[in-house]
Amino acid sequence: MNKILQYLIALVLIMTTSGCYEDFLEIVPQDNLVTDSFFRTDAEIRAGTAALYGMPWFDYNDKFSWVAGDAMPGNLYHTWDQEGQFFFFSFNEGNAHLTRGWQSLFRVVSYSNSIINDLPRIAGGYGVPQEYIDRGVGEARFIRAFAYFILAEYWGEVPIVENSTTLVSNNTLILPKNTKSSVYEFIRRDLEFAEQHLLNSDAPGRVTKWSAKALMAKLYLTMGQASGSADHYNKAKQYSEDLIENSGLTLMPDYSNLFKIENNNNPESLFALQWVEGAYGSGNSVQANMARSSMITGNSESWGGFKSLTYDFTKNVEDGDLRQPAIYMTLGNHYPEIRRSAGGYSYLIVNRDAQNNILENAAPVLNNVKKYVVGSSADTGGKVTTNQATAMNTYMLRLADAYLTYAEAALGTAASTNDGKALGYFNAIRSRAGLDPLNSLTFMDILKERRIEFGMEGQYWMDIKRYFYRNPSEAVSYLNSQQRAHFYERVQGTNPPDENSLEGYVLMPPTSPVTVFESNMILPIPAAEVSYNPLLAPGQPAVEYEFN
Amino acid sequence: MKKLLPLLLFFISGIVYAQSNITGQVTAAKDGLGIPGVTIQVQGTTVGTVSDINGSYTIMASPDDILVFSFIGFQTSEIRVGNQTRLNVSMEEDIKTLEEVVIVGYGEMKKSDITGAVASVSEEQLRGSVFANVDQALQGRVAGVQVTQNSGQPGGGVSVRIRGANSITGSSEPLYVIDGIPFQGDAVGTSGFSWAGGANGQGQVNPLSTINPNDIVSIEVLKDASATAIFGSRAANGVMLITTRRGKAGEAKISYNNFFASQTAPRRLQMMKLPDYAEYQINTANSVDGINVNERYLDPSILGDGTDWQSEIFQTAPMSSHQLAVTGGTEKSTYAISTGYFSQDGTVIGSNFDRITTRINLDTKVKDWITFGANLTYANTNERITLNDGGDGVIMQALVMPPDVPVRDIRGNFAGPENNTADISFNPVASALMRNNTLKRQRTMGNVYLNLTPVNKLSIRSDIGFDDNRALGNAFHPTYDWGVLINNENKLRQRNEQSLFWIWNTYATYTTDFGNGHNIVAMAGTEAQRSDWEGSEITKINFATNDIPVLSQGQQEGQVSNGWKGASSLASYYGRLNYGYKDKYLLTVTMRADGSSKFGSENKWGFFPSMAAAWRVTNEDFMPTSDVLSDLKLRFGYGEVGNQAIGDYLFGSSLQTLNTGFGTAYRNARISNPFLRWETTAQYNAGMDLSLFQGKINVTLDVYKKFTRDMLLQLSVPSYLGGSSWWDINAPFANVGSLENKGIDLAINSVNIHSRNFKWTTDFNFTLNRNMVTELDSETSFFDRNLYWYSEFQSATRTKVGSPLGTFYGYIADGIFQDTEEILNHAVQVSDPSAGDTPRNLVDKRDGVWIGDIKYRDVNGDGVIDSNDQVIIGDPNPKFTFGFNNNFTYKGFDLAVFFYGSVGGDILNYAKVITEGQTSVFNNQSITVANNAKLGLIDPDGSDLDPSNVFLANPDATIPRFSTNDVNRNNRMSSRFLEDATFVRIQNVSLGYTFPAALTSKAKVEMLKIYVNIQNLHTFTNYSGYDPEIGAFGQDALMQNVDMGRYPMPRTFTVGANITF
Repeated sequence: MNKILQYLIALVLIMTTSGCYEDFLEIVPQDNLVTDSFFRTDAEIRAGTAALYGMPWFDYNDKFSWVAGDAMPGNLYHTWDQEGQFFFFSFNEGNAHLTRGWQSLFRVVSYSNSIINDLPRIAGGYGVPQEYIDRGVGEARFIRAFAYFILAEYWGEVPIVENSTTLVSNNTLILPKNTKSSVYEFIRRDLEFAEQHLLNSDAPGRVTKWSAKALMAKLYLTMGQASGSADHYNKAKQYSEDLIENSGLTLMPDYSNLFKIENNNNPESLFALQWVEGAYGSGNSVQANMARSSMITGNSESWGGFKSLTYDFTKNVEDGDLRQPAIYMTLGNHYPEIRRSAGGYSYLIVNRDAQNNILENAAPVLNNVKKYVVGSSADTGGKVTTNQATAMNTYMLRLADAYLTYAEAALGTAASTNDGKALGYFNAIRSRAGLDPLNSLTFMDILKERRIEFGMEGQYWMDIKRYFYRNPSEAVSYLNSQQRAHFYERVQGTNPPDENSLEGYVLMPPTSPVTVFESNMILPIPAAEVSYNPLLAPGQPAVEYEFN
Repeated sequence: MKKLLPLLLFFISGIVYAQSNITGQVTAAKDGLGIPGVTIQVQGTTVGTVSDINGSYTIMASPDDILVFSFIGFQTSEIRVGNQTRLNVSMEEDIKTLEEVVIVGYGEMKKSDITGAVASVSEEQLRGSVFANVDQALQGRVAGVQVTQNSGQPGGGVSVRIRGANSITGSSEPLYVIDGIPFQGDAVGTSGFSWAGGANGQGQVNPLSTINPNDIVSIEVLKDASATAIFGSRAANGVMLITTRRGKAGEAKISYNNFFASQTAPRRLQMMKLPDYAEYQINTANSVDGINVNERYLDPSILGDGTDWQSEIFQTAPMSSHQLAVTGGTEKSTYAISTGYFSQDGTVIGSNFDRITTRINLDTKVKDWITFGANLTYANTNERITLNDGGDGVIMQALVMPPDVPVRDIRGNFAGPENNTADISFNPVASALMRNNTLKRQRTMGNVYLNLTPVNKLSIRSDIGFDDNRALGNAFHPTYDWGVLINNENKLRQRNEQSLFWIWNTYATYTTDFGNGHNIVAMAGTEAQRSDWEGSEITKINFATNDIPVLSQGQQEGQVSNGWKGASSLASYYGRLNYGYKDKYLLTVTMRADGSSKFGSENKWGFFPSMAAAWRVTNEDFMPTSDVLSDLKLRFGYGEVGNQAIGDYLFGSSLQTLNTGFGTAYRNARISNPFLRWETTAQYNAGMDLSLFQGKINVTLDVYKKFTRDMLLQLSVPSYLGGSSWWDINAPFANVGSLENKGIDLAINSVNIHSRNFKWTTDFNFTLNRNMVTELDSETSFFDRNLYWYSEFQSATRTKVGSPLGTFYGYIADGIFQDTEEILNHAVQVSDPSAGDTPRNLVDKRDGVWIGDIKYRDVNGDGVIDSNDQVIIGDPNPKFTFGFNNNFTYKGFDLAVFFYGSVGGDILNYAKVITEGQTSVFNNQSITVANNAKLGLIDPDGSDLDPSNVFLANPDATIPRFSTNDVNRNNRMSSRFLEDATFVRIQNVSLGYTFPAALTSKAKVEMLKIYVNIQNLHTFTNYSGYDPEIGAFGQDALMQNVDMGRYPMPRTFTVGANITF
């Protein structure tokens, strides 16, 4: 019996080791920092805000920016599948690109919010000086404002989310739409904070107080086109003039140099997405979507063979416009920076090899997209990789925008203007493009100039929206009068003219034109969101946001 | 000389021991028939033999020796030799024929004492067929266990469900315990291909493929909570206890088993041949703007068949296995040592798998009261995985690659398509052979135990085990020039992972009999376990040549690397009390407490009790002895088990690193939830074990109901509040919702005929499970799974309250529009913006709904087809599955025919979206597309754009018209792509012959068997894809039966031989 006792005692000993188990069961992450142990220094704050300039925007930049920003308003001819539905205005709330655009912009909001909400508390606790904290929050508030500005122009009334952590923790998942005026006010407050706390100049690529002023000018201009209020126009003028005159920033002398990787974060750039080659999601994927062929990218990611600038766009490009080769490639263009090792790339409508096999085929409007197409890894010193990643930054806002914003604000509600300052700024843009100056400006002059200047930069829909606020019926009939769906067909017959000449093709009107209605001017909220939250359904009222 | 040697030995031994040859026959007392396989041993020695097919035996023994005759199911008899030379023995059947011993958690029990739902797979069943992996041995063999192969890839993934899936987003794979050491059945990741562009396919392989099935002698499946609760935390999905072969005292035995097999892909899909494809292109070009006719196609009749891509990628592939085992030992020490080699090529070119294993099991009695033992096993697997089971996979690409593209061009290089479109296809042969994805794994598992029996009734056992895993994955993306597809940048991703798991458990078992029929077995113990893992991943580009994909050859610039490291731990206390009274009443009570590192300090511990009782009715005095009813046991049990199978530190938030233009950036990984705690599954089980006609018919029937509550789920939130993708600041994990599984397991075994030379037995099992989500965080919550973000399959499956897991969710397709009037009278699919207040369809060839488009049902009757018309349109879960096996033995021959069936359930045939989706004229299509909707003109000179001039020329068409941008969304997720998953398969047919012992013993061969086997002989199904057994994509319970070009299971012809000396 003694023996049993011994063993039972041993057993009891083993079983009373629970004290040790408490430590045994405490395991903290071994390969990542924990949230509350970060933001201890200015450098860590910088590493936190660095996350706002790339990846969360990826899905927006990847497709939405050009299907909605350029194909929808008639700049980009692209008819394929769900992407093409934007060109035809035939998408609905289930469209994958619509959903991804929405998700991406709200992802930007959630990244920003986590900094705006966590940074002051945590960094404050570590005793980081207030100016660094405010600057970090300022970056985040600028970027949140930018995302909301895009959301407002595409979707109109959207829910304002300031702190997803508390909303989710309190199980407050169902939010109403907020009125557009609330959203604009929300953006204005963010920009006001950013303007106060961001620096005059900062490390290359970081937003500054001038970035905030530039967006503020656009915000007021947008509000002005809707309200017709002189106060709004004046604010837009003040902000853009201040920026142009006092920021020390300058236009790049050569437009085409804007779109070269080596000129990332040049003095014209006010806010650009900061891409880096390598992994999927951290680089700019637009080249993969737009490049015509593997000959240009040096890899298989080149899906732009059937994408062109529309006939309507090209006929608005004046002869001798120096911007054309930087926006799209067409017959006669030569690019020494692409296929450097082969002596550059010359555009041919149909490109064949020695055996007469087709390497590159005719695009629908006999041109292909150039903007954000930068060439292969070898052409760029390794700044292009597969995984759809180039290191070419995406312009979200550049100084040229402020020049044209001033002109548009100076025009105000008038039919035309010959305001000297407005003409000066406006003609600065034209002169860089090698075009003759104008002596007076109408809204259509400015709209057309913006269309070309920012062609394929995902901007035109927002310009059309301001046109629409200013004059809804004119804007809709403008879209309906576009020759966006015209395409070229090869001349048939026994002896057709050279396939590499314009004579070899005939311009064909579409079998039916693209028709646009006023109801098309606001995008539907994605179906998945509405199934979660019925308050986002069409027809549900928007409420005023309660600012605290 | 060789012939003389045994003779010589015979004389020598005869002289030394004065032994003589004893012969005789062993018969059953009951029917006087000979019993084959009886072990006859000279007591106290290692000398022994086995009776042959007629029960006859021959053994050397001296007059003082005692011969021990033993055989399962019979009472052991001991007979002194004396001066007889012929000893005929009649063996009495052991009345406790059910006295099999069953391994349970932390111990073993007599089968008759079991109170829970436990099923066993015996060695006999395991040896009855040819398996590459253990999981295949289980398919259709055990009631309540559903095994589906997720891929036919050699070494490909598998999903095993014991009584349904218990978790929505977590793992539902059971816990495997091999000789006492737990082993997780979750899939193992590979380098995959998504990083190199395109989709990934199934980037997971089978964890069970590191186990050599030849080493296994039995598998016990613990199904209900009263059986599994002793495993507490990790047992929510059921437990499989795997026992490997151990040595037996006696003369050493050497056995060698091998087989050689040939595998073929079972069927081909009917795709367009070149003339069909040319006609399809011409028809399409004539009806759609901007598509140019290929001049060569103008007369399809002169074209050949073109390339048959399926024939190019499928092959007849060999498989072989060799296994050498030695077992033996003395009364005090026994050993079993084995080594095996298995090699399998895939039926898709470029895929293969091989495995080398070694196992050593030792047991030794150090003292009377101390037993010491050790197991050590090493496995080395090596597999080459093609990109499969996905839209970009080799199989899918072989289907859509146009027949006008040759495999190789005239210079002998791989060819490719001539048109560059967004959904362009790769040359699948080139892709299979040149895109390399390999995985090498090494696994060393072992344990050492010490068993003390200080006094008769008490035993204490302490076990220390470990499981060391190393994996090296390599994926290489070459440079190529395949038609218009050119890649100048090759790249390699190398992934290195290692992990170490250790476990230490100690438990004491006290067995006592109080007399008066009361007896008790009490067990209590404690256990600690910990896993540590780390890994790294390096990607390099621009290798000098495709031939040497080794990291040193890549360039330094553009190198991307990543690393990870983590750990988790569990600590537990457990106890079990078995009480029995006169073999009539049995009671089992268990309790387990588990602490997990995966929860915050307030919520680490979970408590999991269980109770089960059984009543052996036939042992009651009032039950008359009956020839009909031999045994009847009723069982009832209830228990709770836990689940903590989630990632680490999900209760808190760590920072995710991002690669940015500003250098490394950080962001919050998720919203934290410090209140996260254990998920619990409670289960009721009622069962009956019935034995009729002296055990000729055995029936086991169980009914059960399981409730999983406090499910560990990531909250699903609208995307304006976050999300669940890697890109998002993730929604928190929380304990929300509950899930229910209920069902019936039935197993019937019968001995139909048992005569002198002929025996026929039948095993039948039936599995029925219904699962349903009963609660989520809110009534409107749901979990969606999508297939490719850019497709119309954003909610391919939806899981919500009141529905089973992973139901298919979409629109109901109601045929094809025949004419304009029908479109105008139908609910609005594409709104005509000029219609004003009375919405109607826009009838337009390019921008609207057109004749030949799919008509969708207006489910809610509001006159508009929109997301509110999406409903549950199918359920991947089968109504029931069954296995039906018949064994026939005649003299030395044995024949087994095994059917496996799965009835009910639906398949989402996503492959059809691609092969019948007509998204581009540059992709090949199914031959069925030749009969797509064709339009006729009422006035042949009129416009084909005029709605009133167009009608459907082939009114019976089931496939819509060609449309470049599919405004009507004919390819949206709808009932159009659902098919019935029912199938019955002749899973296995095997025919073997065992040579008579009389013959083989002359060559000192104890047993020699040869056999032929056909696996997956034929599948009876209406499914139009390759194989109706799809499984779960990436083991995800919400992605079951989604066919994205799944690698089909091969049909396998095998010949093999087993020999034992």
